[in-house]
Amino acid sequence: MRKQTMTHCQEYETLSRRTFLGRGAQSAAALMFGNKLVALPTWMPRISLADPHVGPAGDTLVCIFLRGGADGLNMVVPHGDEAYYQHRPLIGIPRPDDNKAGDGRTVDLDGFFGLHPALAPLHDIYAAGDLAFIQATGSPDETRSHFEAMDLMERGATENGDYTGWLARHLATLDSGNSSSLRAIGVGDMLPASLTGAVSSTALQSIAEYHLNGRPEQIGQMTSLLQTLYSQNQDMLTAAAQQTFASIEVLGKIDVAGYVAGGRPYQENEFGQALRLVAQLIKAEVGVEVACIDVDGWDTHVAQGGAVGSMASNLAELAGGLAAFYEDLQAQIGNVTVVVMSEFGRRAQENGGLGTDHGHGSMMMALGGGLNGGRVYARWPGLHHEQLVGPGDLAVTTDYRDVLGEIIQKRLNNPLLPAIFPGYTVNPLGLAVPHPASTVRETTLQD
Amino acid sequence: MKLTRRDFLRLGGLTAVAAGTAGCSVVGRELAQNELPPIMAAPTAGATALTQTAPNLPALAVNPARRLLNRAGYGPNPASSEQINRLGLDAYLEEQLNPETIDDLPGDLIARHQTLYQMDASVLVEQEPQDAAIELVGGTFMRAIYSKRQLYEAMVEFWSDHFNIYLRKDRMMPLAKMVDDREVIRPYALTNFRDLLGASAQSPAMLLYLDNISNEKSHPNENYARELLELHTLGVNGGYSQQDVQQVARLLTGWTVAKRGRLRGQFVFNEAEHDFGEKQVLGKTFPAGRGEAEVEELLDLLASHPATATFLATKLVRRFVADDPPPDLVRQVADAYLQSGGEIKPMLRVIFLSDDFATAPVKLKRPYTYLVSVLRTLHVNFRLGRGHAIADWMQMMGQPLFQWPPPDGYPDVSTAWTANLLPRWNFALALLHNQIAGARVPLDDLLAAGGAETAESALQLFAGLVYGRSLPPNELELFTAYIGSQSIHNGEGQQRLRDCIALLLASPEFQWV
Repeated sequence: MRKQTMTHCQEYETLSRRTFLGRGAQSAAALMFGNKLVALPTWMPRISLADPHVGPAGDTLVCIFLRGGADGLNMVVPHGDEAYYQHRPLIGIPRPDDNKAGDGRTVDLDGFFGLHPALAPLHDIYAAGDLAFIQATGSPDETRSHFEAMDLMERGATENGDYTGWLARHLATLDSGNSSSLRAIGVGDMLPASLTGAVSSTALQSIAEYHLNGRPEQIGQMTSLLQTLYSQNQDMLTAAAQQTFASIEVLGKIDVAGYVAGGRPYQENEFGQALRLVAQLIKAEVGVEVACIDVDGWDTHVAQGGAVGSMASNLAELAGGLAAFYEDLQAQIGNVTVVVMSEFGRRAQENGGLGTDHGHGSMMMALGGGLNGGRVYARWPGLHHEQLVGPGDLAVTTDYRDVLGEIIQKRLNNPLLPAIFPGYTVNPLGLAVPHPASTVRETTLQD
Repeated sequence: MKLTRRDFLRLGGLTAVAAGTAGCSVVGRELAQNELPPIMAAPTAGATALTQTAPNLPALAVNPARRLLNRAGYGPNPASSEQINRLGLDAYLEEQLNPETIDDLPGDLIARHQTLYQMDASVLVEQEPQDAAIELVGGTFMRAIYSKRQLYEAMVEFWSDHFNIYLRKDRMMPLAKMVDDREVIRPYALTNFRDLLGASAQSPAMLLYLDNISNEKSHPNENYARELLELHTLGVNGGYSQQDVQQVARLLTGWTVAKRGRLRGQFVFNEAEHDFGEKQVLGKTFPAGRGEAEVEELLDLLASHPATATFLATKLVRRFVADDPPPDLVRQVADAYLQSGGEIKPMLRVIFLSDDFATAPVKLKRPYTYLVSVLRTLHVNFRLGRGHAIADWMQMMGQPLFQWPPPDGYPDVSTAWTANLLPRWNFALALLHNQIAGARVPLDDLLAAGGAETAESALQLFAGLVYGRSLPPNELELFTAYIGSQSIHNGEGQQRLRDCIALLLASPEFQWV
């Protein structure tokens, strides 16, 4: 069951989860006709791959995409693989027992892998069993092109012809009775491709500023006039505008100024503030099922650095943000899963500019209260010359869809994986614990 | 450009006023005031047709002159409307394709007031990068609003996406990007792709952005090599392999930017870091011992490749015609490219004169286009201050100039932009209530020029400017009810008229082109 201890502020009570479920029940009925999505208005982006699964939403999924191809080898360092240090004489992260390296050495995880020192704030979460790493993961795409790789990964399919994103398909195939306009959000001024085609998704930069800017006494009339203008046709703007109006209404009721984080403060950087916004929405129970955050700056061809340097700064922001988020959401973490991913990893061999070129195998993180964390999941392919693929890259031994698929099924309560990752059979790693809500549902069905 | 005597007088007055101020700040205001035509012109040339439908897109009745101004530029203003009505569509297009023949006092004035922009590269390199960023963004924006060379400005934007450079990649980047704008994008925006490609390949900004400055023979860096193939020429399915990427990277070793000395900040070929060995690219052998010339040969090979023709044609058709490019038109445009030896104008002629163009489904304006088109539509007096409130709006809408980090340029399909409508609405409201620093809507002038006395006539006037049509009774009723019986010339009545104009600009119809 969802933990019931989340509502702290009175303001939030006007917007309880119950309100949303209540509203949702009506619209869900409208959507379900002969088990098909036919009752959807014609303007809605239509994804009718399968009859949706009817059941409660599980975790809120926070999907963090490191844009540019993050160097997983310097994040979860295979310090037990001698070849790692041969490939990276200058930017390699020293072994945990390298006393000469001081604070600049790997923080050991399991005797073979260790964390980049800038990720050290994550170690407590790992030790608490709420954080897992998946090494040598990625997609089968071998173009080493950012755009091709991101496109395929975010669509979650290899064949052409389907331009919806995997998160959009997840949302379309899970009828959770949640009709919130904030069911899926992208933090920032655009949505990621994984949400392409999502019926309900909003780009959100700030809760406080999400309102129509006009003279207060005229806002009501103005809004209604604008709503009329946007309901004359039935097209992609109609949907987007309705979404916007609904979100304005919901977000206007959240007390932003009074928000106090539950743990260490969020850093002032963009990533920290994005996580803070997501945490506020989760606590306000406004029906967020999926939140996406993009983080730029991982295409480290030059001056990537090692234990210190530009990538280390990025990692410090990443770890600081995640640690603050985890502490802030202690009461909710049983219903939250965070996934961190990137389009590909980087070449095993460092290049001449203290950087790395585009590679293949990558690293993912999963954080949340419903995970079998405290482990590095890896079928380690090795870094010796003959073990590398293509121009000298870490092989992919775990398809990224195995990670996402298991989380979708066990944590987000959506069993319709073939519709979400068409043409792919998910092989779970045993990473996630089934969500209680889904267990309850199954019991009910057996009765 | 030939200046008339009257122009000279105006120019003299302007430069005197502008001296010692922040570049083009005064220019915009003066221009807007001077250029306001006595009659409110709207584009009317050609017969209005209904656009094709497509999934999730409305069919709209579109006047072909309005469509051309909307797409081959940043939307109609009174001057361009007058011009297209006078010349007709074909002659207007031909004039736009030859921007040097257009008497463009506004554009030239803006350019003249960009002080850093005119500096020699060796002097520019000593300047403050942030000043260059402000001047470059401001100048580009001002020209989009006021220049009469609208298609040229639209192509500058197209190539600035195609050869994307991220202004914040490096502290020095704004200076380098300024040179790139001046010596790569603008000189070749309407000429020949091979020349453009060659200039880009020697652009310090590009070499810095895509890390070719650290592409050395002992440790090749593939970044520029890959994007040269994937994003600048062949396209990702253009038939090259990872091996080709690595071979091209070797070819480009030593192709760099001088770090010190007389040529600091400028392109140099550093033989000492060049890999003089033999290379194979796309099946062609580049014999050992050649050096700089082999890069030119490589660019010849890439620019003349059929995959490049198709890739460029697809992108141009997507930008100017439809999100889903009609394959036949793409083929014709690619043919025009190959037959002309990479000329850009023949491709644009095929595009803008095609039947597909006239009736293609609508596209959603990108945020930047929306922003500029609002200012053009209302003939806003825009005075660019140093603070750049306008840059914040670009950021909120999702398209700040030259600030897309990855090298593929801002997205060019409607679906990329639908989730963020609110900043567009709020921009229109802020503008109409004069809450945007430097921008003033000349409401009284427009009402006078349009001879609008009543709420109804004022609403029809602005519907004409914004939509190119009058409001049908049901819509008119909505707006007049909002204004009520008060006078539109002052007080609450005028505030409400301002709300209504903002709502016209915020409405769905004005989001489409």
